[in-house]
Amino acid sequence: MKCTVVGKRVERKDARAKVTGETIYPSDRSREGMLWVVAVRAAHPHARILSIDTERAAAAAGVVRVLTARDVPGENAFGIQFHDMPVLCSDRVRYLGDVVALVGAESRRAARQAAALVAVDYQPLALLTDPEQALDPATPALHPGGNILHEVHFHKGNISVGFQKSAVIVERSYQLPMMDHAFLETEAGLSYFDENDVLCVESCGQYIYRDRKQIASVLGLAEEKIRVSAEMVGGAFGGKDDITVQIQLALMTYVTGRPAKMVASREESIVAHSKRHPASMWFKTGASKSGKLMAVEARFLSDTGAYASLGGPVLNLMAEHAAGPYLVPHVKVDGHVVYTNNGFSGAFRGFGCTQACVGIESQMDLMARALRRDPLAFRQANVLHQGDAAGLGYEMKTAVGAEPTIRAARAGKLYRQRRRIKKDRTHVSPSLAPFIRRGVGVASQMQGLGLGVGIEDQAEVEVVLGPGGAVRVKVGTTEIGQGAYTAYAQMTAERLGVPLEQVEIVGADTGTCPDSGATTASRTTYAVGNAILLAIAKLEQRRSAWAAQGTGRENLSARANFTVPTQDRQLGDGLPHLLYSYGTHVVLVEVNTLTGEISVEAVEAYLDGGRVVSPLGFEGQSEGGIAQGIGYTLFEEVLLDRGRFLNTNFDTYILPSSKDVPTAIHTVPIEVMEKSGPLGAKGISETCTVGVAPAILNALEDAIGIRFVRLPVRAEDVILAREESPHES
Amino acid sequence: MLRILRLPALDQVIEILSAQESETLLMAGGTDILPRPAALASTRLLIDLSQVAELQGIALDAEGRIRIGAAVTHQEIVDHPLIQRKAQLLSMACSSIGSVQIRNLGTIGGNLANASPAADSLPALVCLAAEVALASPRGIRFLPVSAFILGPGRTARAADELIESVRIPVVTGRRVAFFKKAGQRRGMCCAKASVAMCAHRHGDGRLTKPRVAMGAVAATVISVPAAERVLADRVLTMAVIEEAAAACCEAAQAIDDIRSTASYRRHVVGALLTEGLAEIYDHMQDLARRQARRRRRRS
Ligand SMILES: Cc1cc2nc3c(=O)[nH]c(=O)nc-3n(C[C@H](O)[C@H](O)[C@H](O)COP(=O)(O)OP(=O)(O)OC[C@H]3O[C@@H](n4cnc5c(N)ncnc54)[C@H](O)[C@@H]3O)c2cc1C
Repeated sequence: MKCTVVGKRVERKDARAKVTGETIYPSDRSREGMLWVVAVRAAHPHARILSIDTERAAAAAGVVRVLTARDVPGENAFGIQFHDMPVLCSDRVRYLGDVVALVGAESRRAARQAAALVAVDYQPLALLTDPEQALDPATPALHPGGNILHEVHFHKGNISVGFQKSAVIVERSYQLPMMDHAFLETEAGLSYFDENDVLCVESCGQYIYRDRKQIASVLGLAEEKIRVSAEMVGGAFGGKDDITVQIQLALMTYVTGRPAKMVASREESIVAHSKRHPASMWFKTGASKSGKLMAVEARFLSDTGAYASLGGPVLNLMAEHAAGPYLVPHVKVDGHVVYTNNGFSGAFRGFGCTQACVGIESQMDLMARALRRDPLAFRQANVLHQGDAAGLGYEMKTAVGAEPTIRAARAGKLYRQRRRIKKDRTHVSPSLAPFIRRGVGVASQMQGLGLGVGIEDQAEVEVVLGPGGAVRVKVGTTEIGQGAYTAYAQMTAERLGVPLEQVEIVGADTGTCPDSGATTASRTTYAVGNAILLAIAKLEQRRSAWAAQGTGRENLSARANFTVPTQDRQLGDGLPHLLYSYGTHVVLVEVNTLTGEISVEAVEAYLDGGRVVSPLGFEGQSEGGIAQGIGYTLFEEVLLDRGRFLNTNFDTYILPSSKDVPTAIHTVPIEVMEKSGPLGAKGISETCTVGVAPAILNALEDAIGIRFVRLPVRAEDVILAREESPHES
Repeated sequence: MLRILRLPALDQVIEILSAQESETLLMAGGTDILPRPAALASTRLLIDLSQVAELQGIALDAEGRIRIGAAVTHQEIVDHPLIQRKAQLLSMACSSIGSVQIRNLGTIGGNLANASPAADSLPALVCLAAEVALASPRGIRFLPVSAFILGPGRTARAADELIESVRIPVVTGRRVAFFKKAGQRRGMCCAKASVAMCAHRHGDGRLTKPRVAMGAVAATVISVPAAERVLADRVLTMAVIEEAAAACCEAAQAIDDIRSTASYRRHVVGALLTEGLAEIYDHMQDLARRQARRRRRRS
C-alpha cells in the first residue's frame, strides 16, 4: 500500500514548543493558593517504626498540614500488580524511598524545613541486601509471602540431550547493574479541586486510568470524582509507570482542600523511583559442529528490591527472551526474583529483554568464535522464522523480521568493511597506533510488543471531525518524549486524506480522553494506531450512510476500542507475546590499551518495527536507545552500600555525554509489514536499545580478546583484565 | 537570611573582608559553591566577585609576566591569544574543564581557591611556575601555586585575603606542552587523574627544563621531579618516555573513591604521560622530516 503522510519525514508536532520552552511540563504547573508538598522518607533502609512525632513539624512556620498513615482514608497501599507499597508507612520501612509523612506548607522551603522536624523513632532491622541470601528460607521475610516474589521454570525438549548433541558448549555468568532511568524531569505534579468538586491531578504518570483507580482506592473516592492527566511528561522510560507523586498530591489536596504541588529533587528522585532490575545470570549453551544451536540453559536471579512493582513480569520476559530470536530445540530456563532492601526495581525500556539479551548474545558470539564461524552468519543460520517454535515452545505466528535485519547488517558498510575499518589508525599519532585496538561486534534481538497474555491490553480512542475539516483525536496515552502523538496524527491524516496540520491530538486526560491503556511495552503506535483506524472506519461508514440519505453533518465523532491480540496459551503473567519487534546492531569500538578508555565509534542499527510511520521519530528512538545502551554498558550503575544510595546525582551517577555517543549512527528501517498492525506498523522503542550492550561487549572481545561479563565496563576494568589476561599483548 | 553583594571595586571587597565577619563567602562564577547547598547554609553574606574591575583581564604586568585576573573565566583563558602563544598549556587545561556553560562561568580564581585535588588548571599552573597574587589591606603578596595549595579545600589564603590574580612568567624559545585528563566520560567530568607537562624543545630532539605535574593522585596537585630528571636534556625516545611514565606511576599517592581506584589512577598517570609525550615525539619527528625536506630542496 502506498502512503503519502505516513513514512514522510515530518517535523514532530511538539518539537517547536519544546525547543522554545513553551511546553508546559508537570513541574511547570502552579495554582493560586497551592501548598508545596515534601515527603519525609525513611532514614533507614529497613527498620521498624516505633513512633512518628509530627508535632514540631506541624507547628513550624508556614506549615499547613503534616500527614501520616492515620490520614489515609482508604487503602494504605498501592502498586501496579500487587498493592504492596504503603502510601505512608506506619510500622515498617523497607527502603530509603519509603514515605512516612507528607508535609504541606505555604512554600517549598518551609515544607523542606518542617520535613526535617518530623521525628521518627526507628528500630533498625537486619538488612537483606544479598539476593542469594533472599533465596534462603531461613532469612527473615520482607513480605508476608516470603522473599521470593516469583519464580519461573520452563523447559522444552530435553536439555541434557541438547548438550549431548553439542560439539561446542559455552558456559558463563553475567552480572548486570541497577540502572536509573535518568529522565530529564523529576517526578512532579499539581493537584486541586475544580469547580465541580472533582479532584484533579496533573502529573507525570504513564497510565492515567490506572493512576486514577489507585488514587480512588487510597482516598476511598469514586473514580468519577477524580481526574488524572499527564499530557506531556519530561521523560519516563518506565520509571514513571509506578505511581510516584500522584497519590501524595491527591491525599494532601483531599485532606486540606487546597491545591498542592510537588517536584522531587534529583537526589530524592534517584532514591525513590524504580530502577532497572539488577540481575545475575548464568547461561550454558551448545551448538553442533555444523553450527546448529542445540541447547540454551539459563538461570536468572533478579533483585526487585523492597517491593514487587513489575518484578514478576520482568522475570517472565527475561525467560521468554532467554533463547533470543533463535530456533533452539532444547531449552531450560529457571529464574527467581527476590525481595531485598536494595531500593526497588520495576519497568525500564527493554523490560527484562535487555538483561536476557546481554546473556544470549554474548553466548552466541562465544559459540561462533569456538566454531570459527562468522558471527552474523551463525545467527542467520539459527534465526527464527514465522511458524517456528520460539524458545519456550509456542509458535511464532506473526511476521518475524529477525532474518532480514541480520541479512541487512551483513550487507552493511561497517560489517562488510570491518577488516579495513578495524585497521584504520589514521586518526591517531603514529607512535600511539600500537596501543589502539578496534573491534566490531554484533547482536540480534527481539522484543515482545504489548502486555502479553493474561493482562488486559486495550486501547480506546475517539476521533472527532470538526468544522472546516479539523480533526481531533482523543487518546489516553502519554507523550513521554517518544513522539507517538506525531505518529498518531500521521496515521489519522493518512487514513482520512486530510493535511497533517488539520489533525490535533488531544492527550492523556481522564476528563476528556478515553482509556487507551499504558504508555509502555512498545505498544502505543500499534494499539492506539489500530484504534484510530477503527474509529475512522466507523466514521466513514456513517458518513457514507448519511450521504446516501442526502443529509450532511459537520460534527461527527466515533469511538473505537482495539484489543491487542495475544497467543492463546498463557505461560505466566504477560507471557508470552504474539507480536515482536526485531533488530540487529553492529558496533565499532575503539580501545585505548594505554588508558583503558573505551570509545564507541560507530553504530549501525537495522530495526524491524513493521512499517515506519514517522521516520524522524524512528531515528530519534534509535539514537536515544543507542545512547542509553552505551550508558548501560560503559557508564551507569546505581551504587548501594547496605541499602543506602551512594550516587544520587549526575555528578556521580555518570551518564554518557554527547561526546561519548558517536555521531556515526546509521539507522536502517527493515520494514516487514505486520498484517495486524496499523498500516503494517508495530513498535520500536525498546528493541532499539536492547541489543546495544551485547554488541559492545562482543566488539570489545573482537578488539582486545577479553570477554567482559559484568556491566558497566569501565577503563579500570579494561586495565585490570589486561593485567590478569594471559594473552596480554 | 542570605545577603548577596555584587561589588564593583577591589577596595570594597578588601574592606568587608578585613571587617572579619565570619559567615562571609566569596563567589566568582559560583560553579563550585552553588551546587553545594550545605556550604551556603551557614553563609550570611555572599560577595559576588564576578564584576570587580581589578579582577578582570589578561595582560602583561609591569614585570613582563602574564597577569590573569582572578575573575577571568576558563573560556576567556582558552580563547585569549596571549595565553595561546605564551602559556598554551594553561589554555589546554582550561579547555578540558566541564562544558561550555561551566567554562563561561567558572574562574581561575575559583579553581585555585577551591583547591580540589582534581582541579584541572592546577597541574598546568604548577608546570608554568605560576604565582598566586593575594590582596589584603596589607597589600599584595605572591605565593607559588604549590605553596598556596595546602590540601583538599585548604589554601594559604588568610581570612582577610582574596586572590587578585595569577602571574605566569613568560619564557621564550620553542616549547612543547600537553595536558591529559582521564575522566569518567569525555566531557563534563572531574578528573580521575590528570598530567600536565611542558618543556623547551631543541632542534636535536632534546627537551630541556621539563616540568611535569599531576592532579587527582594526591591530596594536592604534585610535581614529579623524578620524571623531570628522566626527561631533562635527553633526546626523546619511546624508551625515555617509558622511563618517565614509570616515574609518574611511582610518584602517585592515589586513593580509591567513587570515581576510580587507587591502582587505576597509579597506572593511568603513566599512560597519560606516555600519550602526551608520544604525540610530542611524533610531532618532533614530523618537524625534523619537514626541515630535512626543506633543506634538501634548498640545496
Ligand atoms: C558541572 C561542573 C563541571 C565541572 N567540571 C570541572 C572540571 O572539569 N575541572 C575542574 O577543574 N573543575 C570543574 N568544575 C568545578 C568548577 O567549575 C571550577 O573549580 C571553577 O574554576 C570554579 O570557579 P568559580 O568561579 O565558579 O568558583 P566559585 O564557586 O565562585 O568559588 C569557588 C571557591 O573559590 C572561592 N573564591 C572564588 N574566587 C575567589 C577569589 N578571587 N579569591 C578567593 N577566593 C575565591 C569561593 O569562596 C569558593 O570557596 C566543575 C563544576 C561543575 C558544576
